[in-house]
Amino acid sequence: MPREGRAVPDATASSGVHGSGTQPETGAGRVPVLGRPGAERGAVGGAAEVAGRARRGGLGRRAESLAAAESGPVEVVAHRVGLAYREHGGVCHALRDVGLGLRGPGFVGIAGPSGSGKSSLLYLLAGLKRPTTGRIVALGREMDQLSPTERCLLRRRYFGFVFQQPFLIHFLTAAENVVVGAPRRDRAARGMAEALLGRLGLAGCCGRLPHELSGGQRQRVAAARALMNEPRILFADEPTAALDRASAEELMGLLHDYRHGHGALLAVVSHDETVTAAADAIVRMWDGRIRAIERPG
Amino acid sequence: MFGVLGFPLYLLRNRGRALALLVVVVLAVMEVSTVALLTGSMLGDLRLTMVAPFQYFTEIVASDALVPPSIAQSVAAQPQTKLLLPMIPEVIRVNTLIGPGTRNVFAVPTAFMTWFLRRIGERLIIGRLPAASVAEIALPRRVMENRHLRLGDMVGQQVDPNEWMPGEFRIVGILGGTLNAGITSYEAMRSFTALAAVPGVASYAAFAQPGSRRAMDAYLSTLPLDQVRVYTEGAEEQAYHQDVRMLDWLLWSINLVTVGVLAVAMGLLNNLYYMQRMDEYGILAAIGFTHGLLLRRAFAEVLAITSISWSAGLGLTVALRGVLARWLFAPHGISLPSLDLRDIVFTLPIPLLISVFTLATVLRRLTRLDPVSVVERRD
Repeated sequence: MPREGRAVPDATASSGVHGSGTQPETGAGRVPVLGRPGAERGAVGGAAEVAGRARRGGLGRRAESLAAAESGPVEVVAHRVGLAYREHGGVCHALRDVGLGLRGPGFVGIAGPSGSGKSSLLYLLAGLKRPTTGRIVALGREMDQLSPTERCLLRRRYFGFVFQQPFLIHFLTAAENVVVGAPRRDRAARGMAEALLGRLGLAGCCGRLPHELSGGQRQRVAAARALMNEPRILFADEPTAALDRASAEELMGLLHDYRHGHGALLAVVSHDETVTAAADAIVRMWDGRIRAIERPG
Repeated sequence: MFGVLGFPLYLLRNRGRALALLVVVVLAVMEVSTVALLTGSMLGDLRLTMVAPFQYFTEIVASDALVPPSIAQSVAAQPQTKLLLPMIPEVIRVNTLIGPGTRNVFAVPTAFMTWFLRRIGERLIIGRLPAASVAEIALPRRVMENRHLRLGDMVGQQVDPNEWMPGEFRIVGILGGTLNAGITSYEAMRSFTALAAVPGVASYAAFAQPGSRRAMDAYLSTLPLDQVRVYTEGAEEQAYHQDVRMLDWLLWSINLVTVGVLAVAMGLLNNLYYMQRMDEYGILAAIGFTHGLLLRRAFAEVLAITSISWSAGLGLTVALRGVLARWLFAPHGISLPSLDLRDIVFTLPIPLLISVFTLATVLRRLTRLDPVSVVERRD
């Protein structure tokens, strides 16, 4: 069994750890896949069972079309993706021809200087942006083939998000903010949210409004919201940037606990080397391309 | 609809914002419904005196001085005519919401008074009917209250120069009914007119046989115009609408401008609120809430606050009118209409236009919402 963090080629890649955006010698279609293959989350039933579970999870009629996302590998692959913006009459390339695969369970860090394209890459992988070139396959589904609504539902059911700012809804209590992340916002979700906050050491804060919480507490509430749907892939964009060291360690500990406990894939964009130090693999970005892929330890 | 993202919780937790919208809409509803009340009252008065009596009879008035006897005989002989009654239409002054107004007083032969009253839906409730050829009058209860009159009081131009009705009549009875018309002796009233010394009849009320009103009016409309003028219900209704059409158009224009300005102002305020909430909508979109769901949420919030405000406005209007009617207007004999369809029709554009304007602008903003532009922001 490959050790955690080892890059494994997918069906289109031959071997090695390469970013196709920086090392053209790998050739078109070579996509390094990072993570631990063969350690998929267990207890995944047949298509009907999966669809039923997805429906109960709040996906409704579109559940069956996304059922593959539940039963497929915990994997998101970028196939030679590019992202360009129109800016001041010109074109700004945020990403150029990036090929990368992330496979769970595992922890992949994405690092690089400001403007290197690391956040853009994360947003593409998470379906928050659409690539101008190339394609993304997440949980076995071609993102391009999903309707905007299906992409939303994929995010809502199978992805979790932690951003630099917690973006809590100001008039909802901590527990209610966490419930927002649940696929179904019913009484059971409320109980689950309170239990989750309890595990995060925020049991006494369930009824507090965001402005009554500290920055670290708010970010933990945001993390709890991201975990409410038990995501298969957890995306975090500079989750600790606004936190002090202790709060940052606490938050990352929480995310690690989750991915260990649920066999999830954790993809974290961060400037902070201490955050990515524990990663199975670190993707280093530079000027919209993958400069290197490192495997700490 | 409900739950943590439902509008009840939003309104409850954002009472300050909701209250600001509520107060403005409530005041607007009260203002517009007051305009509706005043104009409705004025139009109601006009209808009561101009059109309402003609649903019971058709009036034939001499073009010159007297109706030629041959015409009267011809009308009376028609099979569709039940009764051709000499009648002098007069009016008595009343106070209304918008100033002086009038109510009808019909002078008919004493022998036909009871029949006439029954026919026009009025009845004697206190006192007695005027005696034959005596200057006595029975007035509607509302006119008595309005003018603070009592049985035995005198009314008419000889008593009060501001009065419309000629002569001097003693009040001997109080009438009840919807037409609010008074009744007096034809002979007595005639004695106060310019034609007192001339034999003949200046005007008649023509009553049709049951089911023959249309036929009777058709016949009456063939009478020579140079000798008589005929006032049918249809013609009076038409004349009324012509008279009030311009007024109504003007009122609606003013109302729509008022409501339009209000809607734009409220829409901008709502827009400001939603701009302040773009983080909220952005994060919801980022974590997977569809645009459709977010639009429905905004729609429900806007519709809820405007509907609640509108209902509260109408409720407060009813309450306020009740208080004013009881303590201010009733003592002056002025009846204040309660809430009616006109209030609803006049005020309904307020929540509708506010909702439409707000939704049009907010929905545009939400459909263009890029969640990344929200979550990418680094503070």
